Amino acid sequence: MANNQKYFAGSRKQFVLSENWAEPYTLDELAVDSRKVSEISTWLSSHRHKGGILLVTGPTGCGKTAVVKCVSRSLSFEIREWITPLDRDYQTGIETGVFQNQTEKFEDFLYSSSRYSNLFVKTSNVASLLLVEDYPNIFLLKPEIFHGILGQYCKIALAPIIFICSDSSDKSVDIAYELFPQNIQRQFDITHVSFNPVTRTKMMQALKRMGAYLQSLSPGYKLPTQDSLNEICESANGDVRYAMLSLQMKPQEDVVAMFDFAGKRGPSNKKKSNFTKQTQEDEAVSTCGKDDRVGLLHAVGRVLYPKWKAEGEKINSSNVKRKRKEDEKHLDATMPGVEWIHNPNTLADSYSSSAGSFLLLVQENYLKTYSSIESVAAAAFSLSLGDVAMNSEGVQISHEISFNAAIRGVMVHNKSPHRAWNQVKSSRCHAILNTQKKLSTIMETLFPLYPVSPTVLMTEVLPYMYLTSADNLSNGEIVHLFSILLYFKGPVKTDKQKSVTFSEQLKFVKAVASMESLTNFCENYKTLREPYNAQKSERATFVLDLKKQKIEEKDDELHISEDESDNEVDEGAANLTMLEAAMAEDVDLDEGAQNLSMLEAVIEEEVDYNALLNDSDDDDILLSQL
Amino acid sequence: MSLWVDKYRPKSLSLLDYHKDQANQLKNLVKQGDFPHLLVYGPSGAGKKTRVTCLLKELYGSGVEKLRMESVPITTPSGKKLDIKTISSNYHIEVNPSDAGIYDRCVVMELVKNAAQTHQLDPTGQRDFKVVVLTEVDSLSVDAQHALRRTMEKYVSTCRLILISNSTSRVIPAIRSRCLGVRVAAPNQDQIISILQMACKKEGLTLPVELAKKIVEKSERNLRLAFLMCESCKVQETPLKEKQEPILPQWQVFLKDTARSIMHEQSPKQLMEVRGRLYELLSHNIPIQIIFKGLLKELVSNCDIKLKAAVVEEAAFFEHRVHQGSKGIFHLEAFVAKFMCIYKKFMEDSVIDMF
Repeated sequence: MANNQKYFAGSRKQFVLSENWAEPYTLDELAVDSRKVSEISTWLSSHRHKGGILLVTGPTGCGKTAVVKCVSRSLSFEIREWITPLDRDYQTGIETGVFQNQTEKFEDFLYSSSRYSNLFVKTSNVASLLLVEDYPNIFLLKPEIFHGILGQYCKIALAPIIFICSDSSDKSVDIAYELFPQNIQRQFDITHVSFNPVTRTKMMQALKRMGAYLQSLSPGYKLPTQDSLNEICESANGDVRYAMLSLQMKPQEDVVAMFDFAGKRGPSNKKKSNFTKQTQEDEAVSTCGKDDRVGLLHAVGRVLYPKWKAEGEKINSSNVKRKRKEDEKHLDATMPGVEWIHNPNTLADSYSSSAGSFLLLVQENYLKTYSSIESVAAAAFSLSLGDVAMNSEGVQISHEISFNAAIRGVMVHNKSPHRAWNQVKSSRCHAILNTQKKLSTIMETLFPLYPVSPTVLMTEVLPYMYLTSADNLSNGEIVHLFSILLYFKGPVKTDKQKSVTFSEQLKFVKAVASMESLTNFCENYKTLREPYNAQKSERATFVLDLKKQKIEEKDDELHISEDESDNEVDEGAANLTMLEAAMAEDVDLDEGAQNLSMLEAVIEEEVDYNALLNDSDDDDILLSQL
Repeated sequence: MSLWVDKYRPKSLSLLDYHKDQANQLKNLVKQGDFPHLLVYGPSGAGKKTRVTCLLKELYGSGVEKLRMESVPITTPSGKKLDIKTISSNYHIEVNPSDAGIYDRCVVMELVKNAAQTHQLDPTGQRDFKVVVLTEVDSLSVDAQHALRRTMEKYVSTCRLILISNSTSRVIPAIRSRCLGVRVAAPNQDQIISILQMACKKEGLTLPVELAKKIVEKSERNLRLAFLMCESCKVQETPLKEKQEPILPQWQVFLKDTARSIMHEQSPKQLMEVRGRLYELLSHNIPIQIIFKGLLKELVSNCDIKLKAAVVEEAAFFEHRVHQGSKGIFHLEAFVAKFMCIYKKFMEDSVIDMF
């Protein structure tokens, strides 16, 4: 306690107290790779007194801001940082009669700070540098406003500007990704410097420097042991700011002793107080440690390929199940322990907010890592249990516990994960829901008054309707519906009658081309014909598009004169969404066996996933080596 | 042109082909003037809807056939706006409350209220009540059913309900006791055969009895299905022959294939393939309950008598979970895995027994 007070009371230029934690002051104190530092300093010196945009990205606490500050100090730049105003300033608004919103203020900031120099700085060779780390929220919602402002800035700028963004695991909240997409970076000639997490050696150096400094402040300060430094390094995960903070906050022996004393005064015996001391120390470093939240795909990988340190004999799964992180120490004595390398509790803790999508990913991919059907059955059981528990209405089972149970089940039952390169695929559940919705909308529009429920329509009437009235079909959407309906991927034993061949589809299209009157499936409901006729022209467009597609894909005997189709294409354009959706499906269907329709949207992501998964494997290996 | 099933749908109570006593009773009910709420139940394809349509015609005359489709905007208590599709005439309104999903409670209440509050323009010579037809009452939530109970009583002077469901087991007793139950049983084999033959005669065809029997068997006495099969047989081969096999819908063939592939090999890899096929079925809008049922039927019919009970039990267990959980495929897959497990063990045991 005394030490801390001394520390906070002390002042030295190297550690600016207003920053609340020790920030490096000179270039060689930086814990960042020197190449990155020089990259920034060359950029800065080449942009003295002229406009230019630099984007600095990296994980949190890897020293992005520190580097910029140090470098600008060494090159005598004066930093002007944008701080988003909390609220509209009504008082000044009333006085001056000018109300500005955040966007205007930001524009103002860019304009004036880059032009006018600080009145209070006497020396004239100080150049200004704009720093933006805090983004007005409106930009995140509407990046185009931001890009407009950037364009303005580029035209008039007299001072360089640096944008700092933290990396984030989720693309939807990644500022750099939202605000600075590739094309914008090219358009405004933005230089991009990306930082890596701080390396272990560098962090160790920084920690030691900090320790020495703390000691110089108060001679009573005991330097932390190498072990605890290691521990801090471990838990910091490349976040030097966090490492510094935890070193500062790490209680000294005498502080713990005080707690200890309090414990002794109670009725407890000595043994217990020893235990409390131990746990307190433990908590001080490890439990308030930085959440080592890994990326979603890393975490899924950890579930799919569970790893444990087995000591002695084979693992008994029920023992593993009982195991909890907190009582590991106690259980160790009683059972020949298994220790998760990646504990399911931690995973469940950090992903309980996105448990649903996590489980979907696990479900989609777990089969590939299993080797026996028995364990698959057990794992599938726990997944299904997890799903039920998460949706339970009556007895509220904690979301987190059910999620934990589900992934634990998948991990525990996989005794020997089948290790091979597997793509992590995203789940098809949502894609299928979308297809279902699409199909039911088509059905609703086509058979609005057919007197049976949609289920019956789908399972009973429509399959036969195709068989019995194929020759009379003259409606593009119906043809389309049938082609979806009857097209099953995967081998189906069918005879000629049942399968829709390409030539049959063409036959439909030809029938449509002759534009005979629409077949009315609901003849009993004659009053309903008007809306259909109204849609006729739209359908014509659809059908023509369909025809075009087919011609493009396979050179066929189907000929339509270009003029005719062009004319009619011009006619109608409405109902686009449905047609588009339908078309997208159609292409796939025609293409044949490729099961792209579900995965199309996903493919792009998958590529990322693969890359990430490889990374995750590497990480795992690294970790196990450590 | 229209399908035979629509073409030969009887349009009035006196034209109904089977359960004629019941039709007469319904007629008398209409004549009497004191018309109660009705709960019409019976298996799929037995003609519940047909009977209700006939009944409506008997009540209001041919005016009831002038249908229009409307989408009624409904705001839920939580502020969500829904559009519910209704089919209505001047005298009645028909809704499928399962369209509304979890909001079925307020949808049902709103619609009944709306229907009940507007009186008939010309009560003389007409009925002084309107009819609200609710289809698929099976899927109505318990909450909605309780709400219905109150609304039913409140607006009884201006509004009658006709509820249509497959079974009464999911209708709460309170509603069952407020309605006159009308059970429409599936037609028996002879009835179906005679109906089909009559239709074929009108089409200028003769339907061999053998084929008709096969159709009855395959359609499981579902008259709608029987009609559809019969018509597809005609397309397949005219004139109809005895040896012809009625066609099953594509998805059923696919489902059977899936079951076969489950029996064929039991491994995670195979499960992967099966999952793909299940997804395929789901994406064709085949409800998961029907997949469960079809799969179970196929699997059970192919496996040893000793296994049957265990397999059915597992299926029941996981089907229940489908209702409890939100992601159907999880449970479907768990069932398939479990079955593979049981079946594999059984096969291995029997191989050991042989030696």
